[in-house]
Amino acid sequence: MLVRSLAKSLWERKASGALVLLSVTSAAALLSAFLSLAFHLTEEMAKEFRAFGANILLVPKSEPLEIGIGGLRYVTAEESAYLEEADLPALKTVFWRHNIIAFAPFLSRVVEVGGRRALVVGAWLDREFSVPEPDGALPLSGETRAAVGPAGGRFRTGLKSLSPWWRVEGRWPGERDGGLLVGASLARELTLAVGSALTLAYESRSLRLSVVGIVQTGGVDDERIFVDLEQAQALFGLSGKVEAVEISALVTPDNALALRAARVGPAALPPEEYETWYCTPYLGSIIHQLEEAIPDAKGKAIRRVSQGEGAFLAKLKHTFGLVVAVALLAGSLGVMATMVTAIFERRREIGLMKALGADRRQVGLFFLLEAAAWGLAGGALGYFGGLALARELAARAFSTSSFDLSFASQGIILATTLIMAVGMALLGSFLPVRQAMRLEPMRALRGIW
Amino acid sequence: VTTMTRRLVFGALFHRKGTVAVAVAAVALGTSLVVAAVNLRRGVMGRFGEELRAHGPNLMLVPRTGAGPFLDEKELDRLGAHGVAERLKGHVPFVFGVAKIQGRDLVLGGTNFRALEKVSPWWQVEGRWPHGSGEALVGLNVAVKLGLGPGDSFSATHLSAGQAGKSQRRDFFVSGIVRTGGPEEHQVFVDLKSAQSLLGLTGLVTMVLASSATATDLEQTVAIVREAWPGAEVKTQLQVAEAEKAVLSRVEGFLSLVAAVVLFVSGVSVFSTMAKEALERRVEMALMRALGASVREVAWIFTAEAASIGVLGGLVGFVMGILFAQLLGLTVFGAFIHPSPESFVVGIAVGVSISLVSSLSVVRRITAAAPALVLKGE
Repeated sequence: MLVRSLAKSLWERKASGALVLLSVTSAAALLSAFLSLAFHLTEEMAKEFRAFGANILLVPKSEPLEIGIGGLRYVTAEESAYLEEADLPALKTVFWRHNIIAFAPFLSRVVEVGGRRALVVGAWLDREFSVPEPDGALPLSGETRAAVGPAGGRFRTGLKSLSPWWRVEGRWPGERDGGLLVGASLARELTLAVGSALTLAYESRSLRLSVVGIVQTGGVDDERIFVDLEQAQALFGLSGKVEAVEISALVTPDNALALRAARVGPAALPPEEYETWYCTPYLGSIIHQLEEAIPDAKGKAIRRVSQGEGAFLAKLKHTFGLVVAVALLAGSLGVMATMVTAIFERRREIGLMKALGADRRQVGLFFLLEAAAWGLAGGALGYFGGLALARELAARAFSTSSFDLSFASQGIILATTLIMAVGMALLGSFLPVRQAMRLEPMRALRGIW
Repeated sequence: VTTMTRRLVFGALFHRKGTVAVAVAAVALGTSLVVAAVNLRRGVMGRFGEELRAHGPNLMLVPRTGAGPFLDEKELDRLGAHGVAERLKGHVPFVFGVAKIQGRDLVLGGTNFRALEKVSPWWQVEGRWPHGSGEALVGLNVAVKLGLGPGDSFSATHLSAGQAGKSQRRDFFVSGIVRTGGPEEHQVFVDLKSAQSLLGLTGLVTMVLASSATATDLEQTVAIVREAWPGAEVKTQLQVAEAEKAVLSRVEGFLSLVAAVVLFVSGVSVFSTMAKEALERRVEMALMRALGASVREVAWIFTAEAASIGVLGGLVGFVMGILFAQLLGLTVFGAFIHPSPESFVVGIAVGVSISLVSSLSVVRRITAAAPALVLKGE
C-alpha cells in the first residue's frame, strides 16, 4: 500500500516534483562536479604556472663565474665547465619524469656579427629524442615504481615548449636548415628582417645563416641570437657540450617536510621521511633526482619563478574551497525551499490521509520516504550532470581537454553525491513534514493552513 | 494608483509580517549569494592580480635605441608623478659596470636596496640587506668563488675608460649573500651612489625595473609610463606578463562559472518560496475578484507586493552578500575586498526579477480560475 501510494504520488505530481527534482539535481550536480574536480584542481593550476617558464636551472658543479652585461655574457676560458649533451635524455628517467614538462640545454658565446658583438645562444629549439629505459637504480619498492609507470617512448622538447611567451615573427628554425632567430632589439639595431643573411664569426671559424624569425621577449633575450645547438657547438668548437639546462617541472607547494629537507639536507632525514620526501614532487626532491641523473650537475631553483607559486596555489585552493562551499550552501537552501513548497501544496492530501485514519507517524514516514526518493533520483541525475559540468569546467577553466578518474574515485563520488542529495532532501522536508503531521484534517481539507 | 490599492498592498505587507519576512529572507539569501559571488569574482581577481605581482617586475625601462646607453637618474622622478605612481607597485633603478674585485672582473650593480626589496620578494638574502653606503650584497656564486661571507670586506676598483690610467677604488662591507637562481648570483650589488662614483657614471642609470600594481590593465600602464617618460623605452617582460594573464584568465573562468551556477540554484530556491507565498493567498485573491476587482487590478496588487519584497530582499541580500564577501576576503587574503558598485545593481535586479517572475507565474494561474471554485477550496 505504502509503495503503491508513494509511486502514484511521485508520478502524479510531475509539476511540483519537477521543481524539487531540478533543485536536488542541480545541487547534486554541483557537488559531484566539484568532487571530480577536487582531485585535479591544484594540479591543473600548477600546470598553468608552467607558462612562467623554467623553474630549475642545471649547471656544471663547478659553476663558472660569468660576467653578464646587457645581453652579453663572458666566462673565462680556464674556468669554463660543461655538461655532456649525451647525458640529457636521462633527465626524463628520474622518478618524477612525468613532471618534467620541458627542458632545453644552452651553450653561448659572444661572437662578431655585423661589426658589433652579440651573444649567440645555441639551444635545443624543438628536439625529439627517445627516452632511455632507466637502469633500475631507483631506491624504491617495486610497488611505488609500478605506480609511476614505465619510461621509454619519445619526448619532444626545447626552447619552443619551454618559453611559451616568446613572440616569434616569422618561424622557428628547423634542426639543420641553416636558420636562426634574432632578438627584436638586436634586429632593429642591425636592421635585420626575416630573410636577411647573417655571418657569425667566432675566433677563426665563421658560420653563415639566414634569419628565419625575430623574437620578442621584453627581456635580455631581445639582444641575443638563437641557433640550433649543433650549429653553435660546431661554431664554438665544443661538440657535444652544453653549459646549462633550463627545466620546467610541475611541483607541489613546499610543506614542513620539504622545508626541513631543504634545511638539514635530504640525507639527514629518517628513512621513511626520506621516502615520502623523495616520492613527493617538491621542487627540492625533483632537483635532487635530476642531480642523481646527471652526477656532475648542480641544480638550482629559479626563485623568481618558483617563489610566488606555492603561496599562490595555496591561496587558490583555499578560495576554490570557500567558493564551492558557497555554491553548495546555495544548493541546499534551494532544495529546502522547494521541499517546503512541495509539501505545502499538498496539505489537502495530508488532510485526506488523516481523515482516512492515517496517524501522524504514517504521514511523516510517507513524506520523508517521498523526499528520499526525490533525493535519490536527483542525486543520480545530478551525478551524471556533475560529470558533464566538471568536463566543461575542466575544458573552459583549465587547458585539459580530458580527464580520467579511477573507477574507485568515481564510486566514491557517486556514493557521496547520493548520500548528500538524500540528506539535503530529508533535511529540507523535515520542518514542513513536522508541520504537516500536526495538521488538523478538517482544516487541511478546507485548504486552511 | 488608487489609495485603496496602495492600502491593500501595504496593508497586506504589514499585517502578514511573518510570511513576508520569510519571503524577504528567501530573496535576501538568494541575492546575498549572488552578490557575494559577483564581489568575490571581482575582488578575488584583483587580489590574485596583486598576489601574482610577487613574481617581480613586469616592466623594464631602458634607453631608446640610438639615445646612448644610459638614462638620466633625475628623470626617475617622472615615475613618482601623480597618475603614474598609482599605477606602479614600485620601481628600482640599476647601474651596471665591470669592476675588479680581488683581481677578478665582476659585474657590479648599483641600486636602491629599499626599492629593490619591495619589488623583488624572491631575492633570498642570507645575512641582511645593506643599509649604509659602504655595504654590499654579494651573489651566491661570487661569494663561493671569492670566499666572501657576511661580515667580510672587499675592495673594488674600476679603471675609467675616459681618464686613462686613473682608477677609482672603494671598500665595501658584505652585509648579505643573495640567492636567486638567476644571473644575480654572479653579481655584486652596492648602493646606487657608490656604484655611480666608482664606475664614473654620476647621475646615470642603465635601466629601471618597474612592477605594475596589478597584473591586469598592463597595456594601459605601459602607455601611461611611456607618456610620462618619453626618453625611455618601456618593455613588457612577456615571461611575467603573459603567464600572469594565462593564470588569471583560468581563475576568472572558474569563478564565473561557479557564480553562474550559484545564480541558477538560488533562482530555483527563491522561485519556490515566492510561489508558495502566492499560493497561500489564493483565497484572498479569489475574494478580491468576487468583490469585483478585475484580473488586472488583482495582478497589479500582487505585482507591487512581489516587487516590494524583491527590493527589500535585494537590499538585505546586498548587505549580507558584501559581509559574506568580506568574511571570505579576510580568511583567504587577510584583507578586505573592495565592494563593487555594480553588485548593488545586480543584487536589486536579481531580487526583484526573481520574486516578480515567480509570484506572477502563480498569480496568473490563480486569477485564471473561477473565484467561486477557489473560495470553495477546490
